Order: sequence, then structure tokens, then C-alpha cells
Amino acid sequence: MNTLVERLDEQRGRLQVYWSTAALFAVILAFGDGFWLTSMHGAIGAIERNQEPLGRWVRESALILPLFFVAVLAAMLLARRWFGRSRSRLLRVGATALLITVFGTAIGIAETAASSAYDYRFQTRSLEQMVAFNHSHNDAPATAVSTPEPQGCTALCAQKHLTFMTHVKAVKLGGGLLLLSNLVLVVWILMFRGDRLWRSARADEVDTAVAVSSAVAAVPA
Amino acid sequence: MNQSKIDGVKIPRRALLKIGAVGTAAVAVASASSIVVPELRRKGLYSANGLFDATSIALAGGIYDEVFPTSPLILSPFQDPLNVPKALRPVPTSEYSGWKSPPGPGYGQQNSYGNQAHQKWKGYSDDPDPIIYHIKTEVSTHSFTSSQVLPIDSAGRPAKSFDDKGKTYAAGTVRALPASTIYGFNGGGGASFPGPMINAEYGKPVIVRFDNQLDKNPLNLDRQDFGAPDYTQLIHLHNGHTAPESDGNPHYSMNYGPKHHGFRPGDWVDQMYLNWPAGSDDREKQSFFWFHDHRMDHTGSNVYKGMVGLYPIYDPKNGMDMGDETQGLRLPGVRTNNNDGSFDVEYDIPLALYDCRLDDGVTNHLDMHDSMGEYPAAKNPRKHPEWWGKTFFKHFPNHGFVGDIFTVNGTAYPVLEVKRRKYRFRFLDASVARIYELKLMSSTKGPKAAKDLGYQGNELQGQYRLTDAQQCMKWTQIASDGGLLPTPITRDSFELWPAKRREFVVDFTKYQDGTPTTKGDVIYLTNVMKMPDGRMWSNSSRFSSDPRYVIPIMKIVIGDDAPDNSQIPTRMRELPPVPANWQSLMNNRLIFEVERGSAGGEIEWLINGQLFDPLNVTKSLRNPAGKALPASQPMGSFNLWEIRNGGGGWVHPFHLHMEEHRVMMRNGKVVNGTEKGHPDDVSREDLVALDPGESTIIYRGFRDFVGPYVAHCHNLAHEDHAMMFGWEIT
Repeated sequence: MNTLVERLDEQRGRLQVYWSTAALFAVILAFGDGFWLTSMHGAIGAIERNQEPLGRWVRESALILPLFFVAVLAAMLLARRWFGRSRSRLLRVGATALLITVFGTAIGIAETAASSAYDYRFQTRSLEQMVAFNHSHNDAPATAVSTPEPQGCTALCAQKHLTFMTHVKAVKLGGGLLLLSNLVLVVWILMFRGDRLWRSARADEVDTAVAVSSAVAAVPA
Repeated sequence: MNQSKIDGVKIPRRALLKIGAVGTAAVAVASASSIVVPELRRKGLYSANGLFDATSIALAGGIYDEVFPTSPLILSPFQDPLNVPKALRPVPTSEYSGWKSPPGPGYGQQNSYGNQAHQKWKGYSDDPDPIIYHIKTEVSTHSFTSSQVLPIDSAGRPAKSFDDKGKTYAAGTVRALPASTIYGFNGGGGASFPGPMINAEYGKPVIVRFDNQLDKNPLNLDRQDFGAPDYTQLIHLHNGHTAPESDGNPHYSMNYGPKHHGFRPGDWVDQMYLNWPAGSDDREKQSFFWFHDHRMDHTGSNVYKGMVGLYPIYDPKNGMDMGDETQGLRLPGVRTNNNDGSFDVEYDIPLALYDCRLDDGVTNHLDMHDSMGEYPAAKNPRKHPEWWGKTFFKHFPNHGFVGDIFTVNGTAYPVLEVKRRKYRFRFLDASVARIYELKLMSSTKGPKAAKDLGYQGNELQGQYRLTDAQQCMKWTQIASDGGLLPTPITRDSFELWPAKRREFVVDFTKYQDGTPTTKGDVIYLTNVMKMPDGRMWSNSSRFSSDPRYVIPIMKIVIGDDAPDNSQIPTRMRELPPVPANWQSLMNNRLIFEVERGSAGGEIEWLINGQLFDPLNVTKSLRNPAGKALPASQPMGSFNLWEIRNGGGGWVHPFHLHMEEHRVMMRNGKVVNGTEKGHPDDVSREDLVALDPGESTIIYRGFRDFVGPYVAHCHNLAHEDHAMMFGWEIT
């Protein structure tokens, strides 16, 4: 038992971050970003993937969680390396918050873009099917003799282009939303965790002292 | 450890931060609960999935360009008289017998392609030969008002305006509206909006020859950028009990007859309206149809462009409802027989409601159909100052299309002088998407321009408001989509969904408190349902009423006394019976779920996750018996169909062709069929009004004809974007 605790302590010491803080960041960012992704999908996504948004949110957020955890961990370690020795608490905490936000948002945007690409694939297939079903765009205008023939990207091409541009717009809008909401969430978590980010030497000492005193208190007289 | 000091008490800094975090979260949750929850409840989105749907709706607003013009303010509303249509005159035998291809029952006589025949030439064996009408569809013009207008912007401020000669008028310049280009039905007196009215009777079949002449444009009118680009038409008598070849539906037209989206310019089709109830059952008789274009993918634009006609149908059997208030049920109506077999009925007035937007010349025109190259002459995307004051349309609006000017029988804010007696009003919602809730109200101060009351943006819709309105009369409902009700129902207000018909008797001799009316009294037909976009209402009596939203649509002025032999009957038409064991059909019912589709333009809306395939019948979702059955019904059968709204914060007026249905269950509960329940559950309907997330199980028959039909959302923007499915009777 002691060996396991020692090994965990050793591991924590090596990474020098609070695992629980990192995990909290990862969970909240994954599910927060997942909310926007699912909602964005409801606005522009393909019907094939558009049912039961709650279930989809839980499923996809859980799947992406490890990636967020790695991103948060990387952001925290990088922040420690770059700003950990700064005397300014504001700089240390602020820079860490910013890095976590940026890393988390990057994951969120990548997730949104991947989802959009997947949707686009479904949607173009539907568009092609629609053409096969003889919907209106097969018809030339009745006045084609007196009006110029449409040039360039028209009909199916135009629909695909418009669909693509809709997704581009969605990714842009989603990026902004993710950045904003991630910033709010990161600040909130920092408040909640009392800016407990890294295991400094002093923090280790304090924690060890607390652990030892707790262990002593637990031993029967 | 850092500590903060509050009133001498030392609090650790981390504890303070935690308290702040928890407090912030608590405030956020409390605020969300008080603001978001009621809004979600109102829109039927109060569920975990609904929260996502609501967010999706909000996000969609940021992704799609949804800019609509603000119509110029009509400065003198309620001056133009209501257009009360006269009955269309039939074509004399001497005339149609001389046609190159006169109507007839033989093969090849049903359309100009010579490839179809009428399934039935008569309903009842003793029916006379059909009465023949000839309706040409033409390019023409229509004016919604004779009033001068003030161009305004979305903030209600005076705006500049333009004309088709390139001139710009300074803000504040009062203008006359140019006429809008319409595709209208011409029954002989010129194409009009709405088109002609055919007064029909049960037992007297009618053939209407719909003759497409949309390729002709003798006035060289600018056709703008909406209306079927190939000028095809496909006219549907909504909800006539007709064979597929006369039904005007795309599932038929793509497989038979024109084998195309519709009938092309120069083509004609004889649509046979047998005026015969389903199953020869008098209890299946209806009372008010309308005919409109149903061309695949362009129904909305063609209807909006004017392809609307009216078709009241009377029942002369035992004089029950023949437009003569001295006979039968004695419903209001004084009948005048014309010498050609047609007839007019005084005091029996159809009221077709329709909302439109007029171009402000500064709103960009761009939608999917432009990208598809359908209107190359418009050279969109661009602004069209030359179209200032003419109807504006957008095919692919994400939030749906609603107008900001309300018209009745083609006139914006008309006035109707009524005699002091009872009237029969036949309401029809011919709008693309707008749902109305109508009340009869009085006002001392009269209509005020919404802009003068400080309203802006969507709050300007309807242009005028009554600030001191009081309900002064009640409605006595006598009929719905499916014809006369078993008993009249008194209502304070009623909802009118797209394509629905509701008929009422109003007694203009007295107010609801019994006080007699006097000559010169003014009553307003008002709309109290606020619907800022095509998704659904934001306020109505059922959900979150807004007492400030009272839009006068039509002014009614009490005139002289007039003889009145009409009565409000106590019993009218019994409903056809539903078998006692109808629940035995539940397991094997067909299930159709209407859903928000994807964003790729023409596939915005789906049913059971499928696009509209006009060539084939669709399949039901898997039913409780585990079967995904095709939507094929044997002739003479009855069945239960479930229609579900798949959510997304939209309402759907879902229309099923050919026979009416009864709602048996709503949201999992058996309906009690009383007037206190849902208004649609007391009568036969041809349109299921689906609130967000709502589900209905309906019972209906499939009788008398075989062939392909459709069912679809009658929000015309949805219908045109794949929310339709094909079914058939075999």
C-alpha cells in the first residue's frame, strides 16, 4: 500500500501539477465545448447525426475527454515552465488560464471542424440524391432563350458550395464562442480551485505535513 | 496562506475565491431559471434535448443571413373596401364543345399530353355532366392598397425609396405603391389575387381546365426572382376528394401526366372535382376548399405570387346548406341563382388571409435558388431598387418567411361595411407560414401606427396596433377543414394555421354583452398572435399572451338593418363514426416524424430522415409491431397514422391529401373530443397542427380512388424544402 502511495506521490511530484485540477479543467471544458458543438450541429448539421442531442453530447464529450486532459496538462506544464518562477501571481495564474483556454479552444475548434467535415459528407450525398430525385434545379428557366444561361458554379455545385460556406461560417462562429466560454469556465474553475495549479516545493511540504498529521491522528493510541 | 479581512473576520483567500465561484454559479443558475426556463416552456422546449434545440435556434440566427425588408407604412389603412369575390361563371356548353380538345371521359381527354383519363366521371350515378370552368394562369399585376405609403426602415424611421426608372426619393417622401407582379388565375375578368371563386355544390361535378399561359407576358412585367422559374404549374384543390390525376400533387405529376414538376406553359389539364363525399357518406361532406399551386419546390413562391383561388362548396341535399337561409340549417346566406348555373350568396363571405413583404430597395437579394441559377435575369446577389414597393420573397429563410403587411382577400387593411344581421365568414390562411389568432375587438382610440408607438424591428409587423382594444363579440364556429361541425362552438378567439379553414357566424346586431349595435359602430378583426418569424409564435392566448400585440387586420363598420332569416342551428352534421376497436390498429400504425434537416439548401426539412422522393412511396418508421411499412393503403381501407413533430422549436401544419382525419390521440393521450380540448380534436381536419415536440395519432380512410398522393408540411417553405412524402392507394 505504502509503495503505491509513494509511487503516486513520486509521479505527482514529477509532473508537479494538481491532477484533480487538471481533471476538473478537462471535464468541464470537454462537456462545455461539447455543448456548443452539439448545439451548432443542431443548427447546421446533417439529419443523420441530428437526433437526441443530449445523448450525443454526453457520448461525444466523454470520448473527447482524454484529449482535453492531455491539452490541459500540457498547458499547465508549459505555463509552469514559462511563468512558474514569476513573482507576480497574476501573471502566473493569468498566463496559465490563457494557455488552458487556448489549448482547450484549439481542441474544440478541431472537433467542430471535424464534425462539420463529417456533416458535409452526409449533406453532399443528400444533395446528390436530391438531384437524382429531380428537384427543381434541373429545370432551366423557361426564358432561357432571352436570358443569359447561368455560368460557373450553379445547381449542385452551388448547393455544395453554399453548404461548405455555411460550415466555414459555423466553425468561425463556433471558434469565437468556444474561446469566450472556455475563458469564462477556466476563470471559474480557477476561482473554485483557489488557483491550485502546480505543486511547488512549498506546496508539497504543506501537503506532506497535512498527510502525516492526518495519518498520525488516525493511529489508535 | 493569504487571508482577507472582512469585518474583522479573517477568511482565507482560497475560501473567498470558492465562495465567489459558487456565488457566481448560483447567480447564473438562478438567472437562467428565471429567464430561460419560462422561455423554453413557452416554446415547448423545456427538456434536456430542448435546451440544445433552443441553443441551436439561437446559433442558426448567427449563421444564416436573415435580412428582410421593412415594408413601407400604409398611411391610410382601412379605406379600401374588402374585395368580396363573385362566383366564377362556367363556360357555356356551346363554347367548350367547340374547343379543339373538349373535356371528356375518354382516355387522352384529361390533359394536353393525351396520356390520362378521369378515374371517375361521376360520383353519384345520377350526377349531371360536369360544369366546365376555364381558368388561365397569367402574368399580371396586383395592388395591395390604394393608399399612399411612407417608406420606413426597421427602426420605423423614414427611409429613402426608389422607382423602376432609377430615381431615388429622399427619406420622408410619401409615395404611391407600384403594383406587384403576380401569377394569377384568370377566370375571364383578368387575373387577380386571390383568383376566382367557384361556388360548388355536392352532386354537381365540376371540371376546371387549368390552362398555363405563364410564358406570355404582354405587359412585359418584371417577373422578379420568385415563382417557378420554368413557369410550370400544378394546381391542387385543397382538400378535395379527388382522384390523383385531378389532385395536383408532385408524386402524381412526376410519375404520370406531365411526368414533370408540373404542367408547362401552353399545357392544360382538366381537373375533375366530383363534389362527392368520401365513401358516398354524407357525413364526409365538406364546406370550404381552396385551390392553389402545388408545383414541387416552388409551391411557396407560386402561392405567394398569387396562385390562390376559392372554392366554397354547398350541400343542397334537403336544402341543408345551400346558401339559402330560409332552408335546411338556415345558416346565413341569401342565394341568387345566375342564368348559367352558377350562383352567388350574399352575407356569406370568404376571407383569405395572406401576409406579404414589400421590397425596400436596399435589402440584398440572395438565396439558394439564385445560386442554382434559376433567376439569371435578376443578377443576384444584389439589391433591387427598381423593385421598391413590390412583393419581396426569400425561398430559403432559415427562420421561415413571414410578411409584415396583413391582407384580406388581397387588400391590405380593408374595410367591410356589414348590415345589422348575421354573416357567415369562411376564413382561410393563404399565408406561407404565418399563423393567426383572430378576435373581434372594439377600440375607442382606433389604430395607431406601430412606429409611432415606438416599436421597431419585428414589432413593426402588422404596421398598426390597437392600444385600447376590448373583445366585443364572440365567434360561433360552424365548420372547419372537414365541413360543418356536429354542433356550433362559441369561441373568444381562434387560431388559423396555414391552409386551414374555419367558418363562423357573427351576429352584428349585438355585442357579446347583449348591447345592440348601432349604425356606424366600428369593430376590428384583429390578430393577437405574435409570430416574428416562420418558426412559431412568440406570444398568443395559449402561450404567454402579449396584451400590447393587437393588430387590426380589417375594419368592420356596422351599416343599416337588413332582413335576416338565418339561425344558428343547434345540430349540424354528425361526424362519421370511428370503430370502437380502433385501438387494435395501434400496433400496426404508420409513423411519420417531421424533422429539421440539414443546412444544405434544398434539403432543409425531412420526414423520417428521408428526402422527398417524388417517384416512390415512403416508409413508416418502425412501429410497435416492429415493421417499417410502406405508405401504401388498399382502396377502401382505414388506418391509424402517427404524425410526430421531431422538435427543433418549430411548429408544423401537416397536411394529408384527399380525405380528412380525426385526431384520436394527442401526445400519448386519447382525445376527449370536447370543445374544451384542442380545437382540432372536435372535427374532421385535413391538416394536423403540430406544436413543438407534439405527436398525434389520426384515423382516416383511403377510399374511392387509386394512385399516388402526398402528405406534407403546409408551411410552404418547409414543403418546398423536402418536408413531403409520397403515399398511395392501391
